[in-house]
Amino acid sequence: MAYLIFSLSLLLIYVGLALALHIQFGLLGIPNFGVVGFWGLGMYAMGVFQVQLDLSFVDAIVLSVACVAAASWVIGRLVLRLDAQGILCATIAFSAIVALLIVTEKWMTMGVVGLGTIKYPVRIGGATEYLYFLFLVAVVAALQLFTLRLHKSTTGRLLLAIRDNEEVAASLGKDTYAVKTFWFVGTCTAMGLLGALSAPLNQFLTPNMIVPSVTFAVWIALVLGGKEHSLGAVVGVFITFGIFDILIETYAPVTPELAVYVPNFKLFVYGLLLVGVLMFKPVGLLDPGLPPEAVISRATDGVQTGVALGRRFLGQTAAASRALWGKGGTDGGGRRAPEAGTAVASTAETGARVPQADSTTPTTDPTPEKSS
Amino acid sequence: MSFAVDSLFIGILQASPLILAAIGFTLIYYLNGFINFAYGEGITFGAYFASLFNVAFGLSFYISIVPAAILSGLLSVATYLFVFRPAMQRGIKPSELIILSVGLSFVLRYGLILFVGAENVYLDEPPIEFFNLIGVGATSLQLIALILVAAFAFNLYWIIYHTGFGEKVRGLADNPELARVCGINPHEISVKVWFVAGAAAGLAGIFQGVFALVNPLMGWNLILITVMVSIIGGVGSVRGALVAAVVAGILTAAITLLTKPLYAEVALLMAFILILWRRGARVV
Repeated sequence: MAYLIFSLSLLLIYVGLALALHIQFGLLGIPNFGVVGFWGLGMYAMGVFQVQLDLSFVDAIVLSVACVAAASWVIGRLVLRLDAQGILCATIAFSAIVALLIVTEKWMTMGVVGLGTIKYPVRIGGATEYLYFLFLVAVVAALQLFTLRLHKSTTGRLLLAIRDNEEVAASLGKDTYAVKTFWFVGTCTAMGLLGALSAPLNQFLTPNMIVPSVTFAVWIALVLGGKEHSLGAVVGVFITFGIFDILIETYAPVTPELAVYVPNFKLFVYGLLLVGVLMFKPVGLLDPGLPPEAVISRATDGVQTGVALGRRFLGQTAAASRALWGKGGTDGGGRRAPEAGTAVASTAETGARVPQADSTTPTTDPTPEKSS
Repeated sequence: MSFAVDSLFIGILQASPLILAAIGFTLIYYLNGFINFAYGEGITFGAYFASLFNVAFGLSFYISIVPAAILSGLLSVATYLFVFRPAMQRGIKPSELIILSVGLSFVLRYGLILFVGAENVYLDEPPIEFFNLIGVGATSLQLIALILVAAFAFNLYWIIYHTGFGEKVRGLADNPELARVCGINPHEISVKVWFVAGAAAGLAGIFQGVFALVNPLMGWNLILITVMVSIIGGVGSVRGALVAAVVAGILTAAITLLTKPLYAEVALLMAFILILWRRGARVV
């Protein structure tokens, strides 16, 4: 359960990163490929301020966010006049610099040894992780609400105008460079804040957390979900991170030998998803024209159908395994011995699920009746 | 004096894979106008193809170079035909083509890891002799690599700037519509260019692999510096990429001799951002 809470907290961090990237790329058209740089800078700054300088949680957060804001202002100044490919290369280079400096500056970051332990702001026994999770929910929900409001505001329209045609926006008297700098610094700082907030989650920081895969995981989630839709970030992260890092890694019956392949397989499928989406539906799963309310009602419909299907499936497997079990038990003859053996094995596999199905079948009695 | 000679020499010797990779990368960027991150996987696959012939089949290193380079050229053509050409025909913008190439490179890299595992592979080095040139030691392998790279680079330079084929390539890159009107078949030219670029990536991977080791992340580790070098060199000119690759190699060697290798990388990356900034809006 503690691991599940950790995974869910990490999922929230990814949703936040994807939301910040949505504002940067989806609304403003800045292809920031250095997400891990801003996030990692915030995270390591938090670690250094807390562990090396022994500051309190709030002081450390404020100072780390200030560090990221300063760094992103410098980067923004340097790159925001470039075209898309230039920004992309420069931000990748920035994240590589951050990763290298974390390894080299051992006096500050402890290098490859790792930096720890970063404390939670408050410790209340076993409830600490849960409280921190609720805190993260509040932060990310605020970011999501802000994004939804931004879409409806005049500022949101200004950002879209700059993305679509900067010259026209400039000729209408908008200081596009200042707007771009402001929003770039703001969103990068949000990434840094999420980094600082993920430091207590990880407790112990090592340089191999600052890898380009983080950037690409966020990008893949956003592009898959719909980069121009206000809810694309959430949907994308739930589909990628939610399915692979939570459902499969936590619940799928994976043997230890196969478990080694799961992370590589995950990145392989991420790549396939990204190629497939860009080739066949470049706008992503959510069309920007779709209103958020429609998405929410569709998602709840989808979840309800999924739950109903899952219950039916569990009920059927339970019934089938009970039938098989009964058969194997009553026959008992040598003729059917191997089949009985497999039946027992299959019940053993689904054994964990059978009691659940039993307990849920009475409540969903009407639905299977109608369908069958 | 000896510091200058050392860094010059070490830089040129170490830069040979980088020079090859930068030339091939520039060709694709020049022709199609987008940064192809999947090019890095061409480097990795080149090294693995070489290890297939060299380690698994037991061929000599120099002989296994040829089929490995051809195979990685074919891989590059396949990525063009099955992914990038359909995508470009659907009118996907360059910035989205880059993301597409990142996705493709994930597919190739992690597909390779699932297939062969993530362990390091070592190529069977040919017997090595040491030479002593103006007070600096070099191995026969390094010198042969350098000669091969120089031959490849000069050949390509000649083809791009002094043959009819090169003229067609340059025409197609500068003005695709005009080139098409003039009867140049863009498809045929592109397939050839992607083949040559892929072969260059494969060769880069083979030499990188024989100097150090082969692992699935080697292409990714080299692609960032390759992109930098090509952009600094003034994308769109094979000449520029060549010069920039050699200069980057020498600079890295010089800074490495002065400090640590990681600081050399940091300094190069910072120089890269500053150069982009100084150039302003135009990257090409």
